[in-house]
Amino acid sequence: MLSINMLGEVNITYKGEKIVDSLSNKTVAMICLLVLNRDKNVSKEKIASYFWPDSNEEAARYNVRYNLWTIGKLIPKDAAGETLITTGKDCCGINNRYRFTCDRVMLDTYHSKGKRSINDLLRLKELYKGDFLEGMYLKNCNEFNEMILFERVICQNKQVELLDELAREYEENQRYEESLKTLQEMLAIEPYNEAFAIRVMGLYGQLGNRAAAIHFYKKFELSLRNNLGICPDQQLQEQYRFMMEDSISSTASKGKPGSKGKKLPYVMLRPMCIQQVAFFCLADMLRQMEEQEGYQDIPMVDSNTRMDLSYIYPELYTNQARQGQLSEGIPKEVPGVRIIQGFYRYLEHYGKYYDIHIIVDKNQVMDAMSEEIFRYLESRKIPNVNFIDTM
Amino acid sequence: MSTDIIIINGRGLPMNDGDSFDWVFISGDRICDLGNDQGYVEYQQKGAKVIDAGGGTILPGFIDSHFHVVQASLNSRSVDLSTARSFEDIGEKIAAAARKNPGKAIRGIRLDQQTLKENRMPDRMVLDQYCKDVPVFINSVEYQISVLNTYALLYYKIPFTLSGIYFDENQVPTGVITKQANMILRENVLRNITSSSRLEAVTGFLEKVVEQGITTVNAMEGGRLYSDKDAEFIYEYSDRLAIDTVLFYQTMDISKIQSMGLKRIGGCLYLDGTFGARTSALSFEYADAPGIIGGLNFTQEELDQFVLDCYQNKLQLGLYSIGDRAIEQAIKSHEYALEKTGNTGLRHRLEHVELPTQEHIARSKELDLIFSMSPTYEYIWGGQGKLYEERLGLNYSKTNPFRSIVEAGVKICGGSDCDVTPANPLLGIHSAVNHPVPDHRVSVYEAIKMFTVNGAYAIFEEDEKGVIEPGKVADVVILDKDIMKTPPDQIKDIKVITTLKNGQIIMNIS
Repeated sequence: MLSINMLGEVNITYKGEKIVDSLSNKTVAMICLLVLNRDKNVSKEKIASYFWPDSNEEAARYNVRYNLWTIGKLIPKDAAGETLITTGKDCCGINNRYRFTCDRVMLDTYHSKGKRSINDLLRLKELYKGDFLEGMYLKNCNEFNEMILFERVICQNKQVELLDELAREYEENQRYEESLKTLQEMLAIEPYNEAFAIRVMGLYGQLGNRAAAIHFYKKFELSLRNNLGICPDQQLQEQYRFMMEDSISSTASKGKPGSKGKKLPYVMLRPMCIQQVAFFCLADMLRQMEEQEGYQDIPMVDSNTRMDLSYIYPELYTNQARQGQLSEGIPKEVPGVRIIQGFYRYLEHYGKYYDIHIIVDKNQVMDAMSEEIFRYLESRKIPNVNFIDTM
Repeated sequence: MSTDIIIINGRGLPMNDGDSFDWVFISGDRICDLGNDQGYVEYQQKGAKVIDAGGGTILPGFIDSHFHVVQASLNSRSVDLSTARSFEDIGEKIAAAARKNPGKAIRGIRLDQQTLKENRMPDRMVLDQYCKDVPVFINSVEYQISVLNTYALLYYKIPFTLSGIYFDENQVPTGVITKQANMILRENVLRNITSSSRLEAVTGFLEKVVEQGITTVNAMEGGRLYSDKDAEFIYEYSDRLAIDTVLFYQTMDISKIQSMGLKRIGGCLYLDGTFGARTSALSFEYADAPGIIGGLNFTQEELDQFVLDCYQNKLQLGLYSIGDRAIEQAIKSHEYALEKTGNTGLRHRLEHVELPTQEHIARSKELDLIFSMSPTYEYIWGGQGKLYEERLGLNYSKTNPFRSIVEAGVKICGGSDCDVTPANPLLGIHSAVNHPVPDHRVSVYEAIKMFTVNGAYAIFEEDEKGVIEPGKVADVVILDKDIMKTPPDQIKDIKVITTLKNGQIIMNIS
């Protein structure tokens, strides 16, 4: 059977015998173009514009005819006597009765949303021998070169998607070693992807190899610092600290800070209220929070949250900026919804480290914005955050 | 084979604060004697070769304390796009390069979109109009952005899934690449340059460097925006080069440094960015970008730990810090590490250190920090109406305060940051003497010290280099004029006529 491989250096074989070398680059490219458009006929005029844009009409038409003839001559008919390409007066296309295999066509059968078995995913993974049409560039064939670029983007994205799915499948099936290996392949493609790094550390944790997780983190951190000049994001740092703590205590328990049965430090916040000043009560609560013992020693909430909340409590920005965590200015305006979500994330984050009790004296009258936000936060029932006599 | 040499009829400055001399005798690779009047005659009678300095200055060979050897060398073979003012200019330069070296990949450097009339980077379609036959790889002035033609996009391994790839409305890459993707692309391109290509480029480039009287450079290699292969190249090939290259490996990997047996680490380990890109960490807003104060790349805690590790492992450390917030962070970390370890004498350096406060200078003195500075920055960007004023407003008058630093007793070693500025110590000396802010100017003698004796001290080589006295290595330069008598504003016009390295004449145009 005819086999056309477009991932990696292009290869065309018939019954295992290589025939690509007897075809010119443009002939091969034409086959690839037609295969990519296999569900429809392609006009010869279009093909001419792809491959002979600078030739006059007659010469271009001749070239198309000649190359189609070459394909017909060099690509054998299948067992049923069908030819690879059907040609009409103005159009041509892949004969859908002709039996052949093509890696790129197989890749189209992959849809990330459809559930696939590990074996299916492995088969697809095996297709990747390199970039789409690696090494191919046709001078002056701008449209065709663009098509290669476009296809490379698609193929690379699919590769990451399917590796991702494969890693998750392995993990779900508790095949952690294989999941880890797959994630490492993903990291080879995207070496600075922190989400992948977090998963790698988690898998080392699942394998009970915290030393490897810590070693991995150190190496990853060094690579971020040396090559990008950045430090790992909050979540990854937190994962590392968690591994370190766990490593030190040698406990096998899993879970996040605050959920390991440890007693969290008790924090009581008593924000002041000024009714006429919007957000005053919330801003005062942030101030009190920042003054808590050990606050500087625990991981900071993410930078987006800090930026949003700095709109009502600028010190949150300046304190962090001084530590090099923020580089942009204080936002001039932040939509209310982001303030609310920001508070939710803020309390959810610090609830992992403190047992927080927020007390508002009944005699005080809260500003309207703070009151609304408090009401919302209370309704969300954030772990380790308690509202007492607020209303 | 070396011959005994006497240099006569010069104004010799030994740079050890001793008296000047007018002749010096060199035997083998060492300075053997020096003096005034006719004392050299006995050496002449024994057959020493005589070089007449013609009344010019005799100085120790210059030490450039901050020099990106490999990248500068590779860049010297690239197309300089700094003067391009339009896409057409870029195209013409690329087309000319393609004609000059048919079939060879083209690398363009120093493209600044702010100077282009289109006020944006070109894309692959623009580049394709001028060159389709070979890969074209263009670097922005600070290497943060790359632009490729279509050939190069298909030729180089491009990770299209990474952040930093720009796409057009049809989801086809435009050829403009930044962020993580740019890092990977640069790594891929630079890693594939062979050692023999590097050697060829560096050897050729150092011939020009020698013409400027430079006999030792601190080679700042590897790390972010560069390539670790550059550092590995210097490590492996330094003994084949015409001048001494003291490697500063720009990494934070202490174990790697130790395994290589190096005594120092860092260089351009970026605590912050540049004034030009408004990424230097300031305590005030950029004058031309309200709300922007620049950012730090590390938290204090992270930097403390790294600096502490360097102290504990007794490694000399160079940290890149330009803005006052970055300088503060660096000093704090040194204070922390010194307090924790008590390890002194490591001669740690702050690289560039452009905006220190008086307090920073005083604290640096306490810590024995060395300031590795590039005075030519002031010549190019300092003073009224130039970049620093544009970015910093009136604070431009606080940059590179050489006078205060020298008076406080902090040692300054001078570097060009080549190829950010030219490899030209005399221009550096000129720039320090003619600082656009008069209060920051230093004397000619103080400025020469930056590029000689202080440079030697900053790499623990003061017992061998940096001064002219018997027993020292015979790295010597002869200038065509008496620098002490030259009007300050003409120092940059002085020429190096002879360079001796280890007692051998490696350049002579007299």
